[in-house]
Amino acid sequence: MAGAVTPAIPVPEGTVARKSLQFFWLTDCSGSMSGKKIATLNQAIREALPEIRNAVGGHPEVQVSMRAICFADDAKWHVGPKAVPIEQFVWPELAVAGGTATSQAIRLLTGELNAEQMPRRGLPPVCILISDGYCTDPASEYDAAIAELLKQPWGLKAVRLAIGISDGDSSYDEEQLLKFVSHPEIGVLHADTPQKLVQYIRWASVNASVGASLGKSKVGGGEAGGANVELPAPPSIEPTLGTATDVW
Amino acid sequence: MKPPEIFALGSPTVGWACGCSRRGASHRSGSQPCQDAFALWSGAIRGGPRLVAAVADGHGDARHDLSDVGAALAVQVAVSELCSFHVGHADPPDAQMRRDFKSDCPRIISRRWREAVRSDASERCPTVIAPSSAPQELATELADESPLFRRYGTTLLTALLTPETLCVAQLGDGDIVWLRPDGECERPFPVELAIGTETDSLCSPNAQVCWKTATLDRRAGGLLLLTTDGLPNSFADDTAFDQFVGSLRQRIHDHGFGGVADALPAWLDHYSDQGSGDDMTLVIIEVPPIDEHSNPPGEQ
Repeated sequence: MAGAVTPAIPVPEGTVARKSLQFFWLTDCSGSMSGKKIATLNQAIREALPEIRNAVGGHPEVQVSMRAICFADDAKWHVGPKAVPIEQFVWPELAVAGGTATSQAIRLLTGELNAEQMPRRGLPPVCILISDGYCTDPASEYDAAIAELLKQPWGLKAVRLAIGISDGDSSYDEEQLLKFVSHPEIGVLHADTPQKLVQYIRWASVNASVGASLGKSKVGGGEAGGANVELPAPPSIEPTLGTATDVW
Repeated sequence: MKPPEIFALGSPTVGWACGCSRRGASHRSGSQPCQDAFALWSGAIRGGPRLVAAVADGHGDARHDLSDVGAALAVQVAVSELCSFHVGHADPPDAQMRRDFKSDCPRIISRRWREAVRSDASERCPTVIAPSSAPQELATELADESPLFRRYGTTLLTALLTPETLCVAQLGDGDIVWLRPDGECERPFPVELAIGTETDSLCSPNAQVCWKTATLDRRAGGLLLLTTDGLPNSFADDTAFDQFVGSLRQRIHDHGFGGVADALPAWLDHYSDQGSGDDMTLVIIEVPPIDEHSNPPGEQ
């Protein structure tokens, strides 16, 4: 009947949830990261957190949960394995010592991306790997860890970015890190100054989170082509000369 | 005139259906249209009552800028073709109909959707698909049609009910759920891992082989739901969504089918606001049990 007021019927039961976006940091805390590198990394991640919160604030339908894996002689949870909502995530200070067990970190990540651990429906996870050195695990072990990661549907579809830290004395294995990266057109982000490390951490974490949050349907089966999530080009960072923070 | 958002129709032997599409919270804030669509048809074909339902979810990505139109075309085509298909299968038993539903409907609906897209595109911009006079140019034109279909990309879920048979088909994401009288939720197409952004589509080059079809045992009756993925994606997990489905049946019992149909817009807005933010479409079909004495079932 036109104009009749229908008494409100309670909404049916069932726990409602926002779309889940799982974010993983994989950070190198080997001995070579000591000094300005680890200090800059700690500070840069802390400064990126509010920017990620602001960026995904434009997507209230998305719940970002964050974890962190650190690796030196072995890999362990820096924050986790229980995911922490981004609103409550705090970055504890990372200490350094030991080798660069990158493959163990990737295996720890893979264990969390298997179908039993992840929700059956969700947005592509975001995984950001930061390292300044060559993996000290055997090369075959690194390749096996990557293969295992890419065998997992969530691992394959994840946004996987890598930031390589280098200075005049040492560098990272670009070929190795590139195997981790989901976006070959972006490649490994080369941070040879503290300024670049700060900006790349900010750029990668914010843009990967926003890109994965969009969650627009597109055609599968290779029809759409390219990466699972589209990302803008990374920033071109000009060196800031004459400051105390422009070299490691 | 803006079409009504809620429909409720049906017949005592086939069942009662209602549906609702709502623009999602994220689309409202971004001033995007609702890219979902649904269509219902109920009537008689050669003296037998029939009910047909279709639900579609346009992809929404920038490459699928006409996907709201694609979804609307998909549900129109599906209802039209399922009615036409059934004209040739109106006499029980329905075993042949079920076989033909599986083998023919996906192919026919996919083809008709492409024809509808071509027709729509030619009205919008005739130069887009203007026929070429030279054979070699025509070949090029056909090869280049995938970008056109991609602009209209959409999923499609359908159901065809007779007093004896319930056939369902699905292309792409979304859920078809059959709640049996014992309270168990049956999913004819178990949901694969749904990672955010990819789905099969009517615009896929191999769309006709991406379809899934099934025949459900409707003898004891039940509640059939066809929904775009925005609704199930708003629940914590499948258990929570199954709880929603069971609770929905209780609401129908307590408040009547019409009462639930009236409540759907507010409910879907609630789930979009609190959950996935997506457009949402839900079609509910309450299927009565078959009266074995007056209307023997066909082969199941």
